[in-house]
Amino acid sequence: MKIIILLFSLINFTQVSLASAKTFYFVVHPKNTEPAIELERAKNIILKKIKRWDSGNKIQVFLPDGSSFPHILKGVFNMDTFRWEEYWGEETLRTGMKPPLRLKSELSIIRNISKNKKAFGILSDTKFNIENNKKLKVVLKIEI
Amino acid sequence: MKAFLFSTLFLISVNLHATSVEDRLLVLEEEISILKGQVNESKKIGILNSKRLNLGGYFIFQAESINSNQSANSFRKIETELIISGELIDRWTYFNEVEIEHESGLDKATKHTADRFYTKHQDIIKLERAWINYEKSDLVNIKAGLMFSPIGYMNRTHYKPVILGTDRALFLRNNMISRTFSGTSIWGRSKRLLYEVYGGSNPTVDETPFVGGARLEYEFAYKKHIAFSNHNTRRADKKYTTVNAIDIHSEWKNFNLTIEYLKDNLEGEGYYIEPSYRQGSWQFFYRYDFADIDVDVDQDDDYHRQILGVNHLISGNKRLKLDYQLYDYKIKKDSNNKNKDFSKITFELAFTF
Repeated sequence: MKIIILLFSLINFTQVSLASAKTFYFVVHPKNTEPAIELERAKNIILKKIKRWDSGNKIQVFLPDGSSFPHILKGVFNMDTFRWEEYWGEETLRTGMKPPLRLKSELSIIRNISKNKKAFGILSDTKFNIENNKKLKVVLKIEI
Repeated sequence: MKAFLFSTLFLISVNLHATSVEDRLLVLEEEISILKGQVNESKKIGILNSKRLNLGGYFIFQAESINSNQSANSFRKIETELIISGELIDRWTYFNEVEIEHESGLDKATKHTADRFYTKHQDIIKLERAWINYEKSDLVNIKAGLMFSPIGYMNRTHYKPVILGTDRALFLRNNMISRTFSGTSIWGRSKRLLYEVYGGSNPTVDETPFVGGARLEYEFAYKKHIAFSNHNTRRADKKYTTVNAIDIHSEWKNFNLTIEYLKDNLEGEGYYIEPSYRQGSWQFFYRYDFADIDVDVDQDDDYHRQILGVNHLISGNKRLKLDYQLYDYKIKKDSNNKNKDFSKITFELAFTF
């Protein structure tokens, strides 16, 4: 009986570990005048329903690839990769609009955003000390 | 003492050197990962991921088995939709879609029951859409050219790699609406409200009669919306019509529901209800489809269709489909006193490239 309880708790522990919350930072160029962004607005920017900043500049979105990506899809959009591809398949065939660029390296996202005043991106990696990084401006922080 | 100082200085210098090497290695690793990232990002070229010019489209292959007065099997359709699109300059985009299609005809024995749905063997190359768009803001866009009429849901989004069925709704197979028009459209969104107002001419009818209307959509979330459309045109039988439509799309967990209803001022009517359920890479659906187009070749005939189907998703826009369709006519016999009802099984492979 004890073994069963132990196994059950191990399974539960594994599930909790797998589903553990992760912090994500929504970032822009430090000179971007956009104040803090609400999650709804961030979602619409990523899905390209909002395509321009208030200044009129076209927003360029960079997303992390790899294991962070399904986590973001589930936590932010309640989508899996099938739904994401279906959404962009429909948008691309209907309007010619393309999905946001996904970059394998988070440093690459930082470099792109620090060089581009129109850029918007999501980062998860804390080794770059994102909140105090002068090359970026955090407009939204969420735990999912 | 000297030996101690010397050895300490030596250890410090080794440590400093080691730290410096570690830092350099870290920077190098990150640079390599960026380069790897860039290589991975640029190696795929297709409609969904090319950078400046979109050159891609989708491909479908369809095989069909009809069970009528006499059965018929055919590799019915091979179709490539080639899309060329991109950004000209900031705010100006263009979009072209060329359809290249081979469609098999049916033998004479089967044609008498199902002939309203099948033309003769044909090979088609035609320009399906060609437009240019100016994006003033998210609220105001102006589009000009040849485009789909923004009425209802399925007429705007019937791209085979992303829809469930192998066939469109019955009311789209007939001439209840002008599926496309050439003209101008003003469209945009304000938060959850989307609108489109359009006007032009019907490219499939001679004498270029007017086509025009509007669509208003409220979007609760992705794939959750309600929309109203108005569409004015002249049909192939030269009758002027005003069509009003409502379409609703909703989802809850893995369940989806799409409902669309159209009615015109000449007593034409069409609707379908399509619930579906997705489990992993498998998607199951049912569609009840009805049309009373009131321009029937025999007489004022209603008919409905039930479809039971399954999709296997290779990805969100690459799928294998199998469905069973059952056609049921109000008037059962045609002019040759043959039964008009029939059923068919269709297999389709549809993917973007």
